Amino acid sequence: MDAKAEGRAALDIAGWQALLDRHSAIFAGMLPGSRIGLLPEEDFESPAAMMLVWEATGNGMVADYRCFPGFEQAAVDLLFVADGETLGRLHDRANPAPLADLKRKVRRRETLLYVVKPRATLLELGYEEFLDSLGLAFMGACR
Amino acid sequence: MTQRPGETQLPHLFEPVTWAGFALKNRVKYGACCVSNYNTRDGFITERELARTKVIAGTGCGIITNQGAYPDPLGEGKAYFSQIALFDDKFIPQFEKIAGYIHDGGGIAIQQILHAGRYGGIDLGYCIQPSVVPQTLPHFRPPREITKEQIRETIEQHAEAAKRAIKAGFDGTEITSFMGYLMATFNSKFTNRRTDEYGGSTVNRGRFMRELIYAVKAAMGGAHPLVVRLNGAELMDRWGGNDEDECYALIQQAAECGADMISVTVGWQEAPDSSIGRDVPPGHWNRLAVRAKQLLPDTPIAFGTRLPDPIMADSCIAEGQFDFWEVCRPLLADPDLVKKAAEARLDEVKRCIGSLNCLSRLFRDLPYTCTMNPALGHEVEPEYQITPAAVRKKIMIVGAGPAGMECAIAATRRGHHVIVYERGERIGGSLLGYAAHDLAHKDDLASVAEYYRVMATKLGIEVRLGTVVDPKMMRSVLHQFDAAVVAAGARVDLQALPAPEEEGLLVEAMDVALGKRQPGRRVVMLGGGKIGLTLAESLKSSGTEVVVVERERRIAGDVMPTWKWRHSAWIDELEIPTMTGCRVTRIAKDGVTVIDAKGRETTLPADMVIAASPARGNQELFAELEWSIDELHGCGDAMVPRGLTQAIHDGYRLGCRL
Repeated sequence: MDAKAEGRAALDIAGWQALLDRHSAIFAGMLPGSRIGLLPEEDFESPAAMMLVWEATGNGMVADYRCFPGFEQAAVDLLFVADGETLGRLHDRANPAPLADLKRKVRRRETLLYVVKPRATLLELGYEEFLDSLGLAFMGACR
Repeated sequence: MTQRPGETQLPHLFEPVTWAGFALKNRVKYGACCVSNYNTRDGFITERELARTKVIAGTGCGIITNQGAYPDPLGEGKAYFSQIALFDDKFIPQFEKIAGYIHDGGGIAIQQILHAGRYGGIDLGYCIQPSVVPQTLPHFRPPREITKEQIRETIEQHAEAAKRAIKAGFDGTEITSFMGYLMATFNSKFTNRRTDEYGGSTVNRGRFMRELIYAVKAAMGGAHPLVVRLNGAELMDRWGGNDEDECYALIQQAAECGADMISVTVGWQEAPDSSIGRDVPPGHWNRLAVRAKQLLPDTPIAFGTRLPDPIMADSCIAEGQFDFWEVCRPLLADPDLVKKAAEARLDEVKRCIGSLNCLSRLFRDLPYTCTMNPALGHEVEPEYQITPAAVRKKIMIVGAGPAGMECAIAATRRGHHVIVYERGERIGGSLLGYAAHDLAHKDDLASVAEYYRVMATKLGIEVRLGTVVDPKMMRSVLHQFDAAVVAAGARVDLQALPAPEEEGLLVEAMDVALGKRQPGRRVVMLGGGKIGLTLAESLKSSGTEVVVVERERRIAGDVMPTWKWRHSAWIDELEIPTMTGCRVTRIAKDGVTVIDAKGRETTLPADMVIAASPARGNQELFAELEWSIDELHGCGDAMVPRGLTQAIHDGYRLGCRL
């Protein structure tokens, strides 16, 4: 098993699913098929990059690993690119406020959030609560 | 011609020079840093814009750059809601007027051609850039990859727009890669992932820029200079953007292609760090200009990012750090800045305080305005102009905060006799407390109060400090005034909070901010708006433990949109706990009890509880004055507590019409 596969094994799907289940209220309004991607920063340029996908199913969010085929084919609405430590903290069941951590990292631009779909589409897909929880209503333009 | 005293004091800034064959009266370049959003949705210039441009033309700058016009008929280059356009000859007559105004004012006229690329397509469902790299700010449109054919068309459109600008009477043009516009997206590795001749190496990424420079220069002809705005630092290298070495390699390419001036800028819209806000110390980025000048000693370098001070600019020019001071926002705040500098009246300058009100409004698709300059954008309206009063009145103004002083200055200039009554010992009102605790750059906010002090002295406005206006005092001045203005500010509405169980437990934020009360060691701050946050950040920085409690779901609700992130970042960095969506139920010796939206109760230990909100206007004097004076008015926080910008604007507008 290579190091990247080992890393994914450490951040197992069960752990991600537990995170999504714990914070289900934030995702409750999302329409089925809405998808959020999380990509390890070190994999960003790799042709074999794997991303974690959180997908709304109509019956809660489901976590899964998929190939990252590049921005155009990624088929996600939002894409977080984060370092291993951030992903580890997010995955950590002992972390009392994992999404607050993510929000902080995004605000500091230590985690990059690509807004793949237009804002209006995101709102139609039910992302309002999630974007709100990340403090993205008006972020960063021209500091 | 006789030199004015400031021209002698700042000899480098005011040195007449020749640039690209044009005689310039000084080394000040009015930068096209902001699009005004005063124009029509289809790119035509309005009377409002023309009136504003007359003011710009009169600033006294040697070079004046008109705001960016988008060059393509589709609007892929259009970044702002009401941006001007130059994609057709039908626009030329209006540009002729603008060039005429600039020449009448003695300036060299440069037209910026702005294709916003990644930040464009505001009326479309997409934007164009070299590669499909999604946005990181939700405000902007999803990208499409520009084809080679579109690259050729876009370059041609720039060249045609430049030709129109020259035909309209402009002396030259400017192309810009500021902040992530189209040229920047080609130059930067962050957005350019192409594998053809326009992507890859720095030379390939710079190909679009070089072709653009050649095309625009050829279209204009040799007698007309081209300015190229380029990043000295993108601040995007953390995410794969250019590092500074690459930025300078691109700057060198531009110079080698014949750019007649390089304007060095800093940062992308989506960069993680501040570049132009108040939290960046003046002069912080000067090193970028120095590097450009060292790299290109024979190419004129313009620079002005977070360099608001003409004295510093003069020194920089003297030391050979750059050749032209490029200035925009400071001239929004005070269009007479250059004149005042020339006349050695810098103490009369209204400084840009870096509130970024201008940009906050642009990104809400509103016309830009300025915190410090209420007339900005209203130049066409007589109601915003200081004109002689038809009837000279004696006016009492209660409160020497920004609203009261703005009103006093405007009214005095119109010929009224004004006396200001202030219960405190200094001019400035609650702004003094706010300035003293601003983590960003205390001097900026403090300068506002100092400006009022200077102007009161110079205009002969009598300010009676330490004077409380109450019924007894009013009886003593009965029938002495024609008009009264209540500009008494606001205070915390303590009635809206639970009564403290012990006297002295609950204090008002402004009493702590102004030093009337010493803070405790463990404080609960009630209110996570700008006052509460500013004070909490300052106290925490000085070692006090602070918890912020906010009734709303989010902190910083009343903070300027472009400044919210700054407070949030400070709160994070200082590790100040915030409890949002919480209501206070008890204030006792052992602390504050709050209840959250889910009904959970928490007691926060504290030896002092500071109330920063809710605010209510100090309006009691209206009842007292109603039957003792002919005209009674109010302005600023006394009417509706909203903050500095609104106080300044309210006060000024009232002063203009009394």
